[in-house]
Amino acid sequence: MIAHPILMAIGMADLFGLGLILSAGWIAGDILLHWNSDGRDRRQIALEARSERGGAEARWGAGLFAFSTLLLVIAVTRILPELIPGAMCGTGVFQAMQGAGFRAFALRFITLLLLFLWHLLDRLNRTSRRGPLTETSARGLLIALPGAVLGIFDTFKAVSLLDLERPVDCCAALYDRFGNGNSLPFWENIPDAFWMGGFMVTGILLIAAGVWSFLRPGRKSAALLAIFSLIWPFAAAGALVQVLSAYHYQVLSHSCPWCLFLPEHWRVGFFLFGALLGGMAAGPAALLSIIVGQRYPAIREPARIMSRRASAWAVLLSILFIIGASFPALLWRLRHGVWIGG
Amino acid sequence: MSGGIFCRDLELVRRGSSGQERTIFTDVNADFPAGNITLITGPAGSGKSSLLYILAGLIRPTRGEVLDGEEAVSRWLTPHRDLWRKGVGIVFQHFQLFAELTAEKNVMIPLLPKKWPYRRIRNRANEALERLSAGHLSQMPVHFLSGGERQRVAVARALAADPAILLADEPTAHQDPEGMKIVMDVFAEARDRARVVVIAAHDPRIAGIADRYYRFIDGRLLHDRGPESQG
Amino acid sequence: MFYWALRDILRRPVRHLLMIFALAGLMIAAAAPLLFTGALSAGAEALLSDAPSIVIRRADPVGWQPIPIEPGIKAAESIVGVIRVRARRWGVIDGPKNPLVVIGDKGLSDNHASSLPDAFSSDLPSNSDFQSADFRDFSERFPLTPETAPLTHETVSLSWVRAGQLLNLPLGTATDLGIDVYYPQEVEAVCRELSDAFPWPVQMLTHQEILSLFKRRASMMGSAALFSLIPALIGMILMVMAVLQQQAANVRETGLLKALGWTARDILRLSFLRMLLVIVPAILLGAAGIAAVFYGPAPFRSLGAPLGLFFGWHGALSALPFDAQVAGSAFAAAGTFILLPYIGASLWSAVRASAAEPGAFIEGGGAG
Repeated sequence: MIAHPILMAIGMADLFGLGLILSAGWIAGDILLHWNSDGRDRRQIALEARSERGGAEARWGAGLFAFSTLLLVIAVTRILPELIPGAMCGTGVFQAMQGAGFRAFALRFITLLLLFLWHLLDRLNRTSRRGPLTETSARGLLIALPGAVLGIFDTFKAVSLLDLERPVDCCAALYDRFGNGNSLPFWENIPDAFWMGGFMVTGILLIAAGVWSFLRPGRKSAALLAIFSLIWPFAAAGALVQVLSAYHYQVLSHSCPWCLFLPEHWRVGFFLFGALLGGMAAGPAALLSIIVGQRYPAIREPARIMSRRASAWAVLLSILFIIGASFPALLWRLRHGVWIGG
Repeated sequence: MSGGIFCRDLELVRRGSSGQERTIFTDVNADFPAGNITLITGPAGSGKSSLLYILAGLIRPTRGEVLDGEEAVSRWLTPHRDLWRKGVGIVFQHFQLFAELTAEKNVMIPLLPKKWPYRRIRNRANEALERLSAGHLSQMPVHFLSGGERQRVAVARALAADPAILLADEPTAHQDPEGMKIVMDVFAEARDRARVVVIAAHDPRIAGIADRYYRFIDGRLLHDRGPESQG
Repeated sequence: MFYWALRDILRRPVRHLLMIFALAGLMIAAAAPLLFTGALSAGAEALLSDAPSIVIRRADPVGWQPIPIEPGIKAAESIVGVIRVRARRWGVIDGPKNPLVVIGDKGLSDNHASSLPDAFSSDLPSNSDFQSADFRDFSERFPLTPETAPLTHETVSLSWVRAGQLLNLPLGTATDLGIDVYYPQEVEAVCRELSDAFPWPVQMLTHQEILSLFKRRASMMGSAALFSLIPALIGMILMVMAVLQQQAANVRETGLLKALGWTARDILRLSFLRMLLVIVPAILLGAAGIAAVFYGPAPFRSLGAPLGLFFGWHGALSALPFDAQVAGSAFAAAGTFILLPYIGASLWSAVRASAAEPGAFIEGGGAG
């Protein structure tokens, strides 16, 4: 266990955030069991008041959770590598966290995506005076809740595994994967051309679907956008880490996503992975807005506006990612006339 | 502009710290149309102030709803009720002024969230004070003022934002005949401008000005015929 | 709205001033261990920038042994890829006040007189087996960058022979050998060959391993020093409780503002402005305090004397070499740790107001 103010800040934000989300989750459970929007009885009126309190708690809890996740990314990429012997970037930190770190990150980002979609429902709900989405939004919160609990639990576990006495070998973690051809994960065997092809094709389709969904918001266009915005980040991240990272690092091959967060690489990782996650969230947001807008006439117009806005964000973020990720490669090609690796 | 506020099957139950429940009133059905002054009377503790709080959207009833026109405002989500409440002016029984602030600053408070220039806010506050003949008190901290003067500052504060609904709890309790006339003129003026005016009071002097009357008896709000029935 | 927030702050000036000082003080206390750790790490990096690629020491089952210079150099030079071999004499001796790192310098004559580092200016024991005149300030002959100061302030140089005498090194032996290699990437391979080339058992440390050791030690010291944060943590909890108590007292005002037409967003904005009026001066004061206590001239550094209670130094602190990245990240981490709970507590009343019934806050919610 390492005592560092930023880890303490993460712990505090997580604990407060979890407390608020759990309290809101309790109310959400009550809403699912007893909500009756047509009723004027005591229970319903009391539940309406509590639902608002629950919504406010969940909003602040989700905000704290997002903030602590950002702090965790900063800690893993900038602060902990300085403290853990042998760690040069997040790869070494993850090695020191022994698996719990990866689980914590995965759970946190899935939960953030779910909380973002919940937040969207909550915002749409609040555009209408009577909150027609209260039940749906309560359901959304309850779906995100287990991820928040497990993500925070795994974060605590991962941080408690950090040890200043036990050195790690950052590069070994990266290159040992190549030691034995049989144990390579399947993505290491995929040729670069496939990564780049997948990245470009899905990227173009995503942008096209986004433009379509922006111009003519509807179920079909938004569904297509949602599908591509969930597929594209994997192709894009693969292309970035397996192929394009070489141009950022200016070496033949170094498939490390975490080194992109280092100052010597302009901390471009924050921008690139931020754009990727934002784009990933925007597609489902566009679809969700359209679906609930069609189901609840009271929020149709704000839902349509929100769907268009989400489509625009999906297009903008994917274009920004493409530019940011491929710019060093294009620059290299212009300067040297060849690609790295021929 | 409000077409009037209407109570449907309102009930208010208060829960004490020991968990004990007390029904303040139940099955309240009442109409408060625009362009009328409605007077609510009843013994102390009968629920007059609580009803005003519910009409102002400051507390929720435990059952039933308050309608503004056809909209059940008492059940709106907070952000919408907050916006709706901007159209409500309320005079509290115990004034609820900021004691260390001047009268002018107190009257400015409802206007501060409006993105008006400071001068405009100040002018509007002073106009409201003038209407209550309290312009000369403008720069006095309210803790220096008498009960009657404070009450007039509180009325000026309720009027400053030109609300569509004006609710007043014992607004003349500390007024001498002259002050009483000033305050009543202001309410009459609001009625003439098609505002909803609801007054909860014991003061028999108010009865003459009201158009509609309600009386709380044993936790129920009954329609009343006015001064002749009380006489 | 801003003036309203300012008015609120000025209504209780002493309380808010104390809050600003408390926040700034806690930030300084929380940043201290991080600054020390950062300074030690940066110092190690600067100090080792010209260090040999490999350091070889002779070891037997008893422990370290002096390494014979001539056969050692010959054995090392026989390996392809080795470009330079240096014999080094250094070690730790008991100084008059503290243990000292002594370095043998071939460029110094045995009988020179020179200025002495602070550590030797007084209190030399009469029966000492070394003479004050032996010592030279390390920085006189070895130009060192300021970043190395946290690591070299108790390091002195003396003549090669005197160093050998003080460190009990027999004639013709050294403490270790420093080896430079042509390709730094080949260090691992050269190490394997070197271990077979010597007639005695040896232990080797590469440049990277030494740097890691330094950083690890710095991290461990920093981590231990972070226990000093416990008082800061208690202080922070007390402060948060005070803020929450103050918010509870202000709850009537919050309810009243809502009753008078303020929205939850307006109240949040007011709370935010009020909070900014406290934390911005606190951040500025904290930054100024850190600059003065850790990097400023001596009179300012003496302001940090109370921190010595936690970190175990006496009097004014030696100035730390300024590194913008170390200072910035320490300040940001300490600021986040200290300010986050304060911000949370300050905005809590606004969070409550956003969903609560304002009437509940005012005269019992219309009891009549």
